Amino acid sequence: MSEQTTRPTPRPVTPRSRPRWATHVVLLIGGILMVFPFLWQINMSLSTQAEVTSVPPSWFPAKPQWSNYSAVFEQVPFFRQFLNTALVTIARVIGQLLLCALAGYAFARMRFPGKNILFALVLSILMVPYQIYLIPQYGVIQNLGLLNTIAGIAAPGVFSAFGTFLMRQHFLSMPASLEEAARLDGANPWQTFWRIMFPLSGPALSAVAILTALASWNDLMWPLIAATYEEKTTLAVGLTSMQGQFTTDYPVMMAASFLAMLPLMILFIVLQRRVVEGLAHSGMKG
Amino acid sequence: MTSRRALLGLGGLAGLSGAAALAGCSSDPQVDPALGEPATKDTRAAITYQIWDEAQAPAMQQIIDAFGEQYPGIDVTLTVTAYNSYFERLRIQATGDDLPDVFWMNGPNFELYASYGKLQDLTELEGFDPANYPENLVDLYTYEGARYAIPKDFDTIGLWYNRELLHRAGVDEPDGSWSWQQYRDASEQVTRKLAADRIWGNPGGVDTQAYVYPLALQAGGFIISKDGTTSGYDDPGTIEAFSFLRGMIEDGIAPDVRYTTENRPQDLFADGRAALLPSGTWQAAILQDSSVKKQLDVAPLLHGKQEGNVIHGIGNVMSARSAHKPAASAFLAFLGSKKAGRIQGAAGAANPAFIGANGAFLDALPDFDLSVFIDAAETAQPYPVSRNTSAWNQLEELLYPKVIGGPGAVEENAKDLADRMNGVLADES
Amino acid sequence: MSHETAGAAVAPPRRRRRAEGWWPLVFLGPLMIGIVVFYFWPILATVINSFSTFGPFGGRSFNGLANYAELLTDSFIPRAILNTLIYTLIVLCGIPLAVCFASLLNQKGLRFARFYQVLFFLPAVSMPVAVALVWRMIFNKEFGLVNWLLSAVGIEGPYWVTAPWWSLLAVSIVGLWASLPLAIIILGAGLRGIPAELYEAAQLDGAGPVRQFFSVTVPLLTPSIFFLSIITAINGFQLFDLLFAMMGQANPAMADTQSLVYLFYSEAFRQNNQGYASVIALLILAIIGLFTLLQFRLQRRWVHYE
Repeated sequence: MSEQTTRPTPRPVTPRSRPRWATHVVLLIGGILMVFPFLWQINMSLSTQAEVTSVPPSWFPAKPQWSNYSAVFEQVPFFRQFLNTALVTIARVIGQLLLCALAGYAFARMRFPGKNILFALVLSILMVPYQIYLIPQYGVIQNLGLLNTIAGIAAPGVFSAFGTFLMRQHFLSMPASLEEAARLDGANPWQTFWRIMFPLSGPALSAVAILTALASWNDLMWPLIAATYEEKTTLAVGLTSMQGQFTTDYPVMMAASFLAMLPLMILFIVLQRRVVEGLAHSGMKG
Repeated sequence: MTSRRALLGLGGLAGLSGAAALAGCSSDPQVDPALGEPATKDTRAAITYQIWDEAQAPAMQQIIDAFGEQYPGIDVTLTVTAYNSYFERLRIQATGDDLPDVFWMNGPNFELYASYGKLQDLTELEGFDPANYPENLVDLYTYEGARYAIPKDFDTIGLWYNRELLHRAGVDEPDGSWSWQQYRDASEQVTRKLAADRIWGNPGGVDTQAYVYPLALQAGGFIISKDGTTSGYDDPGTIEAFSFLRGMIEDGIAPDVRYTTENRPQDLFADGRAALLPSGTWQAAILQDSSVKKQLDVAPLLHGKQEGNVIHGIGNVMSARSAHKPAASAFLAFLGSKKAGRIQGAAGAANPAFIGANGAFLDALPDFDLSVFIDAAETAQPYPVSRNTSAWNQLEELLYPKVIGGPGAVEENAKDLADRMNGVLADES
Repeated sequence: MSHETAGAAVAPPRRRRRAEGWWPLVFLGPLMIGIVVFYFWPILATVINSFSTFGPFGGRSFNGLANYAELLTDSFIPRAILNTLIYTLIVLCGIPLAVCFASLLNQKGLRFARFYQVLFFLPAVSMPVAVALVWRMIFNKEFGLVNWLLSAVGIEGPYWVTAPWWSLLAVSIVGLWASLPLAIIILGAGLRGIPAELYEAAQLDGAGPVRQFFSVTVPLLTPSIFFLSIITAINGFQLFDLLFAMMGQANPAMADTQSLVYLFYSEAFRQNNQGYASVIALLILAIIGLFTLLQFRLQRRWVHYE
């Protein structure tokens, strides 16, 4: 096995092959436990109501009920909510990429009075639980006339202290020589930033984008109060309202919640390495 | 050079202040109490109509479509919010001056909204003749002499049952004369006989309007005193009703409250897993989509020491801050018309409040004997309300499970509920 | 910092100042406007709100310390703190589990590593509300899988979603499950930072895999573990989505299961008690601050920095 090629010291014979085998068993069992709820969700989403509530549980639908998926679109304004969620997410990602990169660059590379105090103040936001902001943010959005709009749901999340922090760390790590060359060519700070520094920030920008997209897509509490009309709110809110209807249709609920998660799951499987890197960055929060 | 770039960089700021300027003119209109000129055929406006019952949405959309034929320029958007978060959201909307133009209101929440000027006074609305609706429904939505809602429908409580399940357990169908004991015996027989299929005689639950209120009245109890100052939850009659429900849970006849939180009674009944369901007119619209629809029917409710049933009706109201009052007025008047009543009746959505429009509802769902609900209206009492009903409704939601399901004696828990409710009522005055 | 001083040495200071001029404002302005409007102002407003009482539809009036007095007499508060603590502690129990999985996943030359990553990290990108609805079914007393498995070994399962304590346990188990991916990712980054020579040295000393794990891996991971425990605890104190979606609003066990944030939500948006809700929000802030401080104090005892 490759282990032997990377490690010069030969290990004792007995614990070599057994742990390898055991590793795969443990990882497989653990991994299946981790994804099991999603598999079960798919099973339920294709079952009948009677199958979902049967004892003992039904492991496979006798006949897959694809109609549960079409019912999702009839029962709730799913497509609208999907679109809303996507628009809010896109607005937040673009807004954060731009604003955080600009501000992160200024904090990393520019000299101005009060810089450190200002940066500390911005970072202090991260120490405060987000509930504190909710009621006053509602008032702000109301005064801006943005209740029940995409802009209103997106607005507070566009401005991110954490994204700024990540971008600042990134720009601090870039060599100063790049900027010096540009400056000698007569570029102003905007040109330096936009033509040289920004294009070289791919990994940091993708981390910010991924973290923002995750937080935005899955957010519940803010859209719950900022957008109270079903057609104008997001998927997460829509799912909680499905639960509150007079009748509960479990299979359709499962189909809806699976569809709501699907885009991010696909994104994750396609961009696995990037997403994992991005998530690793979120460890710096706190 | 620099300044132009700076302007570009500040684009976000400009957008924000622009929005703020916009908000300055839109979010703070003076509340004009007058209804103004009614809409005409040429009026162009877009209004929102908010309701809470998904099952009635198709019928409401039919009404909107019929309205659109008369007023082609008025665009009505229907929005459905699940009932259990409807009034929470409505409160947020009212706080943000963001109420829909026209929306459903119920008795428990009416006074709060009316007394804070959130609702449009409809007394002068053209086409709203209170004589067209039952007097007690008009009264329900009258505050300090002014009428704020056009009654949409009315509902009473009956005993829904599943013929097939009763038959399998060897129980006769309810004939409208059942006493509490007969209901209990029938429930017990079904639960015991069909236990292997996980079928319940009755699916229990902690419903106020459909279950506890009518039973309390039948036992001689009350929910709130006539003058609206005292809770009836420590009244012996009300406690008797609670004890009756607790007894069925303790004897394993009905599922306990933890079970019914996970498996809601109306779901159990609609899925063919419960044989008897005391519930209201509104179930008709829901049950017509049930997979066991053919096995279902409805009979008059139980009989206790005295007759007891609860009548309530939804009202259509207008936001006092609606920006499109002429259009909203025209739509409200249409909602209150006999024609709209017939549409919702014929769709089996609800029993129209418009006097003389019930016929369509009775014929709409031939499987169900819906006349039961109209007969019940004769002896039914109005839904119990006070000025801030929702405050003690929350106490009911919090404490009913404990009163009905334990732990603790029924009397003590009911007394606790009564004390807390009296505290809330004292705050009202 | 060091590049800047280097840069200053090359470019004459006067020219530099002219070059930057108002530029910092241009770069920072857009962000700062939003930060002030959506974050700084709300903090101030929350403090003001905490001394106020609100009408049913808004409208503030000053009521002094009444909200703070209410905090002291509210019997839901100690229970909510306890619930939040229990939840956090149970979720923290996931860290040892995450250490094991992370070290297995990060073995050199592990085959199918990408496949395992998908399995283990999928919960990290899933919507808490959607996942909670699934778990609610899995934990159903009557037809849920968990109780079916228990019944297979002769145990009658409890009401996982609607009975006090059990519901807290169920929500915590789901919280633990949901927190594992991020923990494994963060610990994985820490593991890759451990120099291979240390393992080789341990091997020369005759340490087997288990000894190596406890004498090399765990001590050198303590900075990551410390970091992780702070994030996990802070996230734990924010418990809301899972509880809200798994239990539903009219749940008889809610009074005994609700978290501080749920209590905040319920006071602010259901009971319309925004002044009191602001006090609860400040309490959450105080607890998180205190906890973080305590963690930093205690870290000297057990965290090994190289």
